[in-house]
Amino acid sequence: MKTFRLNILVVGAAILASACASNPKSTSLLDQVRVDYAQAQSNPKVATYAALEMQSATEALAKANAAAKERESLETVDKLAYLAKQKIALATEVASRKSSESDIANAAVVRDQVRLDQRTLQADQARAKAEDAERSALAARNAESIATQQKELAQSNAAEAQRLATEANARNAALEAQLADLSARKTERGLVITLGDVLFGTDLARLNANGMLMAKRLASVLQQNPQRTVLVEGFADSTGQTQHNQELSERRAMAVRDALLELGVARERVTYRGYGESYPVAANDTAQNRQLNRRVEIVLSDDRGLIRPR
Amino acid sequence: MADGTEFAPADMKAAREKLALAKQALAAKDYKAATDFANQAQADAKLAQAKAGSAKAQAVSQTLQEDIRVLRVELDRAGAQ
Repeated sequence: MKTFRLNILVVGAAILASACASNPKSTSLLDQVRVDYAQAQSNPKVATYAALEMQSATEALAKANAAAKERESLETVDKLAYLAKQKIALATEVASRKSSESDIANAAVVRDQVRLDQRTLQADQARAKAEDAERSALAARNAESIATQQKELAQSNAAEAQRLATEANARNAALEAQLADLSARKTERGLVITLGDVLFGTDLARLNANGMLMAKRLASVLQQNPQRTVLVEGFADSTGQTQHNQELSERRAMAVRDALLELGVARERVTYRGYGESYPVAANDTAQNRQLNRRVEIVLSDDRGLIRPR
Repeated sequence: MADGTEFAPADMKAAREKLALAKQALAAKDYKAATDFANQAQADAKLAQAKAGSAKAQAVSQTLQEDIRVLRVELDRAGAQ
């Protein structure tokens, strides 16, 4: 190794000595061309893209150097140096062009990718927008559907209410028809049937045959209208003792109640009261008027079984 | 050589002058000089052509790079929406 390095030194010294001895010619142009050459050689683009042109330049420079070494005329050296200079410049330009062309090819790929990204983004945004719109439309349709259902439900409720009202009217009408035979009156408290004195034995708290017939009709009406109840109210005239009249009115009301129970009407549907001489319907001045006051009134409840008290 | 005139006018001018000199030398039957001038004219012309080519390629490359830059700005702006 040491020997090798020594050899290099010896050879280098020999070259230097010979150069000094032969005093080879150079020109300022040739010096400049050598600088150009060194620059081109250190340019990586030239090595990559202009190897052929650089080889040609190398050969041209070698010729110029050789001419200088051979001490040819200045003119000859400069001519050769000029050709080398132009070839070095050519190599540099070719390298520059090819490098740019490579950039162009790469840039075209990049540009296409960026355009693709752009279109992808636009498509994504358009899709997201469309999906938003679809969601909104769906929500609107749902809201509409719910509104329709509610409307239909309301209509259905109204129709049901109408039907029930119609049914109730029909039942009332039917009841009134059934009570026509019993000479029922419409009053503020409801339908009222009056059983007159003639339906009872005189001063007796017992229905006669006609009275029983009326009771049967009433029982039949109650069986056909199971939601109704009755209040049986007894009244007397003012003849005789008040206590006696009170008891008579109660007994007569009870007699009607018992008749209805015997005819199959449930006990809880029939209540009775006696009012004695109270609530006369006529003055107690004539026999005929007193007979009007001796009576039993039967009040029918409404649909819900309720009766307004006197 | 229109590109050469446009992108490397000095080199084209030199090439033309050398060519004229080569023709003169040829007419004077100085073949050595004619060859020298012809070689120089060729070197000048080739360089002019190469300069034109590299200048054009550079211009195209720069245009493309600018296009890409603009596209990227648009893309960033669209993406930021």
